[in-house]
Amino acid sequence: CRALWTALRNLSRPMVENLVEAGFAQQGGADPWAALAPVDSDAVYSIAADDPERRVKIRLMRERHVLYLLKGLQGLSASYVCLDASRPWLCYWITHALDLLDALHPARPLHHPQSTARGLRLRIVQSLSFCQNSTGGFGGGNQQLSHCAPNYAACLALLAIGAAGQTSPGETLSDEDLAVREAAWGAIDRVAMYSWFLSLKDPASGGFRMHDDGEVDVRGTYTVIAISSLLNILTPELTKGVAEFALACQTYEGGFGGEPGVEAHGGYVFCALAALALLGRAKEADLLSLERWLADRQTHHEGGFQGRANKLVDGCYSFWQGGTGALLAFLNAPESCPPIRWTCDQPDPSSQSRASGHDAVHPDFPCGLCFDSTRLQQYTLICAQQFPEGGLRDKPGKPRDYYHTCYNLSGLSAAQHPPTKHDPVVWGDASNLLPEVHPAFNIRKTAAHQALEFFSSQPSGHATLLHLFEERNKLRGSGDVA
Amino acid sequence: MAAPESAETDLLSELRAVFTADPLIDEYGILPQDALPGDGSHFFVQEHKLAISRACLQTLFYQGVSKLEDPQWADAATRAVLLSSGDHYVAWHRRKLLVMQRAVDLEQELRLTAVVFSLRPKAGNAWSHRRFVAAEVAATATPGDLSTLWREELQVCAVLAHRSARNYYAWTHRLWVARRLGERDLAREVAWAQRAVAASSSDRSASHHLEQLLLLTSGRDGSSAPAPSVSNLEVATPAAIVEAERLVKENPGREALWQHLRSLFAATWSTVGGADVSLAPSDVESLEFVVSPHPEDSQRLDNEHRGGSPWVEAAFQIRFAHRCSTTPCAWNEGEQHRFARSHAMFVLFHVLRALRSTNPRHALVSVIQGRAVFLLAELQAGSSPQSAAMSTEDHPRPTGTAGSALSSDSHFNSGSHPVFWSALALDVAEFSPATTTRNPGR
Repeated sequence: CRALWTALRNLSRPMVENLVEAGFAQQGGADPWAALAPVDSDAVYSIAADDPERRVKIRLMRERHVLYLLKGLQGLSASYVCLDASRPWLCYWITHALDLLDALHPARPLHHPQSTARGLRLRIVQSLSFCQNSTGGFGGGNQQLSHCAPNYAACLALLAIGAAGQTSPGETLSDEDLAVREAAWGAIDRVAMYSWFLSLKDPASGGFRMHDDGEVDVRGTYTVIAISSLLNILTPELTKGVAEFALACQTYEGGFGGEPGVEAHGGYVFCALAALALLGRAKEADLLSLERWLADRQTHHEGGFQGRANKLVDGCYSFWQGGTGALLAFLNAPESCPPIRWTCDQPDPSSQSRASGHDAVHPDFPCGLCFDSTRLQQYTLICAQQFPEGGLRDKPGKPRDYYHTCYNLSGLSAAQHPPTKHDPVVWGDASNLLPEVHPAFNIRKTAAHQALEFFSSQPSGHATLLHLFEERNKLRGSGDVA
Repeated sequence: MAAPESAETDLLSELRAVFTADPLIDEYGILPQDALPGDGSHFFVQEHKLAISRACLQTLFYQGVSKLEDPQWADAATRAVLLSSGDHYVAWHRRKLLVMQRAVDLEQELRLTAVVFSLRPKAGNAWSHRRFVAAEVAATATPGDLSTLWREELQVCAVLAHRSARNYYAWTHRLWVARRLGERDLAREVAWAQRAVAASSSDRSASHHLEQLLLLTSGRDGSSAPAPSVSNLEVATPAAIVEAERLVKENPGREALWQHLRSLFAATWSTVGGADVSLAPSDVESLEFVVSPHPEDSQRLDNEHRGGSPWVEAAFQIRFAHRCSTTPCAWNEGEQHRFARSHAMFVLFHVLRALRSTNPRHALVSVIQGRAVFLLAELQAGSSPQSAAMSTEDHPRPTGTAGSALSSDSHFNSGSHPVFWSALALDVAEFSPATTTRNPGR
């Protein structure tokens, strides 16, 4: 214990207590910081480039990232006022990043007997439920108008929280974990959300508005389709015209813009392709041009992705572009990939067998990805990690933040799990391996499959959902807002 | 009529008084309290610029948030929230309702968005609000007012795109306005865009805007554009491509300009549909000249008329790219050559794809395929300094885990990624890089 406190003496007391409380520091156990190699990040990069023999194994600084993330859940500084209308986003970025670092539900051996990690998850669930409106959907904060983007973030955070702890389908959950799952997944009001989604649909273009009277673009479209797929409220009334709108957003370059005719941009490429994949209409787009545009977006010198042509590299595009690359690999060769479930209509993936033996890709490009996954991992681990404080960032010189932490880690996971390979591809230390992320939803794949499994048994269908919503409103009486 | 002033709304009423006294405020900033004149007020206006004291910002924000729903304070409260958090969609939504009820002046509304842009030029909700208000103004404006409105919008877009380069929202808004311009204004806009592209060589947003305008004037955009006159059609492609080529030669190694050239080529090529690929004998000759290893053959291409058949255009593009890849440059030479070869690959890919889908047994197919393979080998050889020595031996197989940086470099460059291998459907045994270096071009 003394060794532990000596190592941690530079941290503030609340942070240390957090660490102990969350079960990451063992009382009287080994010093968790001992495994970190204290090297200067520039020296690390040059060693990696020149000399394979003497290379230091670059390590993902898990413990420090977890500390940074937990600190964000306690409170944020005044400069975060710009995100006042985006609280669910902060919950999602932090929750998802913790999930990828296996910290949302700590592995059994490290688990402190009096840990309040479950308490933490329940607190997040409660905070998020304040953001939900009875007319359907989550807003940016308490009593804020429902908006597609925080709605997407809130739902994903709740699904991730409820699924934490079960890493394989056969595993049974403890009673407390089941209680957390019920609280988290039960907090989502699917029925009201469905009628709210319907109200956002723009019949002229086929897309969805971001909020009541808001703008129509491919972001809103993706968030609605993604959440509808997960919650089993995807109906033909909702999907009518959506694929056509997304397809119209493809430009001559091959990428997708926010609206038809607008410049191709990394974030919108992901939204459009994921929406099309979820609707099963991705083959109607020009995937070859898209692949070429995407491959060109990996920067030649740094290895990370840029958002648009001739712009600078940015860590968050590791997911927006890299995840799109992973999606494309799935779409191009589905039979040689592990089974993945997109919607509740599909069968349970564990029942499907995997195509065995024959490697469907060119031997010079073993990953089957249209980008170099090794270089992307190198960029994330060497340039995007903030040393020594923890947290990940846009590029060296920019400050760390939760958005970049979340998407850098998601991109790292996408690069480590190329769909056509049986085994993950990990660069650097073997402990850098992250769990696989579902390329269309950006939560853990296991969590997405569990959620799809659960919600597939819930009532669905246009008429049923509207009827349930009406029934409930009648019971509550009209004009009830709270 | 005004609610009684209380401690909860004192800052809001101050803010309201400030904007009422000077409705022409067009910019704001946040300063430390000491920098403001000493009479203790939190706001200061001079020459239509507003200064807000940092000390009062938090209180102002909270007062604003608490009074958003109150109809008597909605205007001031939303302003208070937006000056602290410019992207706050709830406040913008509230203002939208005020606009729809015409409780606020539309000119003032546009000015408010400009004020918010001074600190948050990329606030998506602010831009969306501006678009909404401009549409409202346009709905009831006379033609004279309309052109003034659009000119103002274009001015705002230009200023903000200049201030924060490649501002996605500014350029999107500009395109939205351009789709609503009359013919004369549109021609002026095209000229502006051409100057903007020439001025900034790495601005993909500007070149993309120009492409969209050219599509608009040629009437192929599909949206409600004025019917193109004959002179407009000439603007659309050959002259634009020639201009793009000039820019590429003068600004070596700029990805945005190469991307621009590719998009213009893709626009011409899109007229080559799947079923009706009509390949005239003269087209075949042009292509043969270009892919032939003898340079004097390609000079016969100069007799061809550009802007006729897309196949001829493809031939011109390949020749241009070949020339760029062999011309020495004063700077960015490596990048320029890499992009040039990649461009040649791109054009060859499209030509091959069109040929294969209609006439796979055409004699040109194998010729072009051989040329493409040779180009691929050149691209791989030229990508990294270490691999130049490796081009004549077998490429090292990259190990999956802990892959060394060297092997991943030699396989990674934009010209040889798997798309083009699969698209060209090359039989690897027949066209492996080892054989290609011995048989260039055939």
